[in-house]
Amino acid sequence: MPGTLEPLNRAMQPRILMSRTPGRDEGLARLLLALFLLGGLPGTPAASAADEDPFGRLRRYVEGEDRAPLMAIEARVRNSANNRLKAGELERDLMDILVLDATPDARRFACRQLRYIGTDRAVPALAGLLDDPVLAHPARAVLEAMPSAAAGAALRQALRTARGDPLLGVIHALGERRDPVAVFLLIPWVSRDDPGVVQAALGALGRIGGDTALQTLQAAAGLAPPPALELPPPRNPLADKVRLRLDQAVLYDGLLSCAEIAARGGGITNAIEVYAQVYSAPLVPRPQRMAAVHGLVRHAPARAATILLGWLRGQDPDLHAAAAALVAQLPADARAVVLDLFDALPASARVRLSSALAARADPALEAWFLRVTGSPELSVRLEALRALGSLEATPAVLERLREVSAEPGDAGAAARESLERLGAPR
Amino acid sequence: MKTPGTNPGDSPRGAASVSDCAPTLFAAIPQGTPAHRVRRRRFLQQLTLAVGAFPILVPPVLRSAPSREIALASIGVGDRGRADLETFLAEPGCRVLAVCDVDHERAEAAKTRVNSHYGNRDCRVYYDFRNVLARPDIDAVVLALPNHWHAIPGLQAIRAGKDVYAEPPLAHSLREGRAVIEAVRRYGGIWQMGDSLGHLEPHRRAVACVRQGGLGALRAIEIGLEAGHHDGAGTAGRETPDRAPPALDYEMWLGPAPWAPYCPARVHHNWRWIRDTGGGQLMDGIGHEGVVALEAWGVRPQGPLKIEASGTFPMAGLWNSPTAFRITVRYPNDVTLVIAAGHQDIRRGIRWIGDRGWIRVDRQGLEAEPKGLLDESSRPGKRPGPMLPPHRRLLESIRSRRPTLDSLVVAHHAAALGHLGQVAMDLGRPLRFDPEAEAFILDPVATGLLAAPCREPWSL
Repeated sequence: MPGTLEPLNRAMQPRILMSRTPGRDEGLARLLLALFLLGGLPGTPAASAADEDPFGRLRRYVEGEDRAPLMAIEARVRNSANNRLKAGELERDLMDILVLDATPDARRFACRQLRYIGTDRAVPALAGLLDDPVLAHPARAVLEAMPSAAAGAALRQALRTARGDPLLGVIHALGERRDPVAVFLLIPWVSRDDPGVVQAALGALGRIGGDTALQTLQAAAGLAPPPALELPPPRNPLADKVRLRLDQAVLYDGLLSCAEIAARGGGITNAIEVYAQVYSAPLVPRPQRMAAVHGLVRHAPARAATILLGWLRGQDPDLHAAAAALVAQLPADARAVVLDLFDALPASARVRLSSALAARADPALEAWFLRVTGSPELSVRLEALRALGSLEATPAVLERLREVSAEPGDAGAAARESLERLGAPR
Repeated sequence: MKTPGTNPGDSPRGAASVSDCAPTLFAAIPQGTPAHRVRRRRFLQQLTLAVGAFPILVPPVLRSAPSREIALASIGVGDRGRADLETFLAEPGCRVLAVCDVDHERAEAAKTRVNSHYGNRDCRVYYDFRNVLARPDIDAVVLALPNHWHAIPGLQAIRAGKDVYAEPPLAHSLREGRAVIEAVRRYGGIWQMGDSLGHLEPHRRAVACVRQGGLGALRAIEIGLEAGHHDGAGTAGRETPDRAPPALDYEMWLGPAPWAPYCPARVHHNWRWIRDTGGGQLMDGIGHEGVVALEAWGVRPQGPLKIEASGTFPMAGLWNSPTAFRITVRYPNDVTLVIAAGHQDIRRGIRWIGDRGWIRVDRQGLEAEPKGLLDESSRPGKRPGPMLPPHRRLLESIRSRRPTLDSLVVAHHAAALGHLGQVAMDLGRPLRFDPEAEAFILDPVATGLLAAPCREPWSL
């Protein structure tokens, strides 16, 4: 049972208690130890004087005081998990703490326990705390996790009353809940002049996704809506003051999130359009631009192959590595577009590409690797020979590796190493 | 997400300021001005016309795979962070350019150590990780932070185009772990966990032997972890609320965790015994042993299906993570995975049990019954090569841009075992889990506990 000391574990308990209890508390530790050894402690931890009226003591609780009443209540909550009646009683007691004249520390603790047993009955009491600068977070944490419509409605309602950090918390919570009803309520916040609030709203819209959220984010980024929607270019909703200070990464991350949600929902065309926009738009931070290419690799591999081929044909070795890793993720037909031009690529690109493909160990590349083992470039050849060691031990692979293994130098060594990995005799 | 700002106490000591380090590609274009709007509109018109001719422009993309020394920043330089820092200082091919900690004394000491190592004064010190992420010259960040800070700095790093080395567990909650996976997939970032066991010879051999299939059908996995709480900072019992030391930015230390007053027993090292900031021995261990256990077996996407757990909770004091526990996780095909601490029938280490015997590993070595299961050469088939230690895997992945997502998914599954176990312990009832949806079946309360809602203004 949870919350009990287990017989198997008795030998270990004294060590735990002693290690936790230095100096002046040693006496208490010894007392507990003696109790324990004489027949075990009661099933419920902290079952002591605190059990008499833990809620009465909780009401006056201030951090730093004896936590025994708190632990008694925690244990009751844990043990009530399978007993609705008991849980209901505890819920009422905890709600009393929220609405009565209890200390902030007590109310914070009560919120925490309501995460385990809170129902719709507790929503009004929790909702009343959503604009409280001290208790907003513990109350919101309960509502954010509650799947009920009442919790969602309370959070949406709090958009009207909460200010400052509690407002940010409410906006984040609506995003985390993926609450589609909240989209229209969040859109006005995108036009506010507080960059923190605007970014929170943009982030929440990105998490929720859907056509309306996507269009709002596109408008904020100055991008056109998907042609399929046949909408006129929208007015940018961002206040000038915010536009200058906005973290563009948040905005474009929201767009990328919308694209993923669209793709998951079958809206691949819309998703591809967003990726293409984010890749091409002028103000996009580099990581988000790169993420857009990743999106194209997943959903429009032929388009992605064209971009990657451009990178591989350039002279930037860092870009060669990035492109090579992405080519390795392309499906075979898109990958073939790149591999057909392999011999025409710069040396650095060829090495990077063969290395990236070797790491994929894709059996469909067996013929390509066999061909590349004849490359005049040693590093390309070595990558291909090592790659063969990751594939299946087909007769063609074994024959080629045995042939090269007789060679002196690095190529022979790489072939022998691959034979070893395949568990094949030379 | 909190608006990035300059902390008055945040002194990059001559480094470029945040505004100097504009994160956008075209930040020099003044946005919002009429001229800008006209140029922008004209550009958009051209873009619309050219939409069929993709790609319209090939922007000068990316600092991606450094063909030079990899520039690192260490964020979090406490016990574990200092060890990570030493590891990277000793590694050729990378250079630590910045250190960051909310404890100013620790940050300054780390900066002194780095500058002394390199014999220069190039290392900058920061007290707010966001200012590190704003530096365009940093390739990757090394995160060694309390669990409640595992996800946010990493997510922001990935969104800023940095790669990440992070101490296990992957995240403080299942939802955070999912957010990390999604971000790494979205951005193609490199995220290397600092798991400490996989590259050790006994563990590597154990993984190889289990994968070779000599055990026959796998029936059970046992993961034995350490029990109890260990006072690593000498602050046990110092639980009276107090003013935080001037060197510690306590509000930033708390960050997304629920508010609580400062006391010495809550912070450095011992944060791990408090559920708001750590996960006790369970979450400390599962990112190491759990990853090896799953690596050997191969992650089963159709599981886990059912979780039961019991725990022993402290009877007093601030440290509230269980000191002993037993979590039983059921997978399809009647495979059972048990994670236990403080139970004599489950020894420290990992044991895989199959139809034909068992293999067991811990830091001391390998055992098997029958012993022949350890003879790798007796079975045909592919053999895995040696595994690099995690810091070298990070550097290798940054250079090659080889994705780390597969190993990250294993880390997520391992951490999830801990998260699911914690919820099952808290609720004291068996729980059924839908691995596809990453939610408990018909148990919204339990599912709600898989998230750790961030304290405002922080968000994932």
